[in-house]
Amino acid sequence: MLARSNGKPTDWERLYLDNRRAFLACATAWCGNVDDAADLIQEAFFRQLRGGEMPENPRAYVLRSLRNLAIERRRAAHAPEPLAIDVAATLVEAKFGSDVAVERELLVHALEQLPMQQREAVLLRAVAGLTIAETAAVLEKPAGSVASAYARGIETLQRILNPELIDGRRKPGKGTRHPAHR
Amino acid sequence: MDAENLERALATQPIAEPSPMREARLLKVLHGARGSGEPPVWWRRPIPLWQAVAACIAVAFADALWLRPAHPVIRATKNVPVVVQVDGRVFEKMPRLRAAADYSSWSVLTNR
Repeated sequence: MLARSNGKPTDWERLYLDNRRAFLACATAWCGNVDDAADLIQEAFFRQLRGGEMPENPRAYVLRSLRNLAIERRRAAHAPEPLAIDVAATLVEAKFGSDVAVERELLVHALEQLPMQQREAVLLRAVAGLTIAETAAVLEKPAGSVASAYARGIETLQRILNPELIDGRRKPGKGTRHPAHR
Repeated sequence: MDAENLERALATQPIAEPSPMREARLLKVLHGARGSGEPPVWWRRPIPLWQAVAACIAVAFADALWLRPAHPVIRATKNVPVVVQVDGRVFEKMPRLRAAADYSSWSVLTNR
């Protein structure tokens, strides 16, 4: 039975509005398109509403529910892999005049080079804004392995986006001789 | 680009958005949902399992008391056995059987 609220946003509405970016980014990556992602989010919230009380960590709980629903749908569609991380569907072009640092194509290309585990950790931690503990709760893995996958993912992204960097230091090239040797 | 700037770039990169109509439909459902900030009315409040079991036992006990059969009424009357005497006139209008009914061996019915 649903009770009418008195015009103020309910806790569930507040949960969605406060974590909208996280839910949309992850659901779109797991589904491959934003319309399926919206259906997935609605289904995940319906399941929570049927449960009644709000769980202890609702953001991680809803995201884990989204992930499990995406896996169920792929299994029902007999997809070859249990889960996919489609970053090209998630990240869109920035509007003209915005101060986004890196172009979308570069980011998508770099993210697609990552192995699945690292890509998912970067998606949840950096794009969706979850903490390491929340990411571990969503992926149902130890926090240590999630932190390690995330760190390796960021390092690989840096290497792909800055090919002239080796171990974080700029490789010496033309015009970059040490002042003592000039 | 260092790790901090890369994380900031990932956090601020725009993401795909659903249509406003689609999102409005979801928000409409969530707006009508029961939130923990609103006190539930007493008939919709979830109760502990032991309270539900106790309520079922109380209702069953009340039903048993209400629906139990009434005690037989005891009256101070003389216990006179009922005797039914059958004479031949009862059988006068009956169709004739092949053989005459022999009821000489009939006796009082007992509950054995």
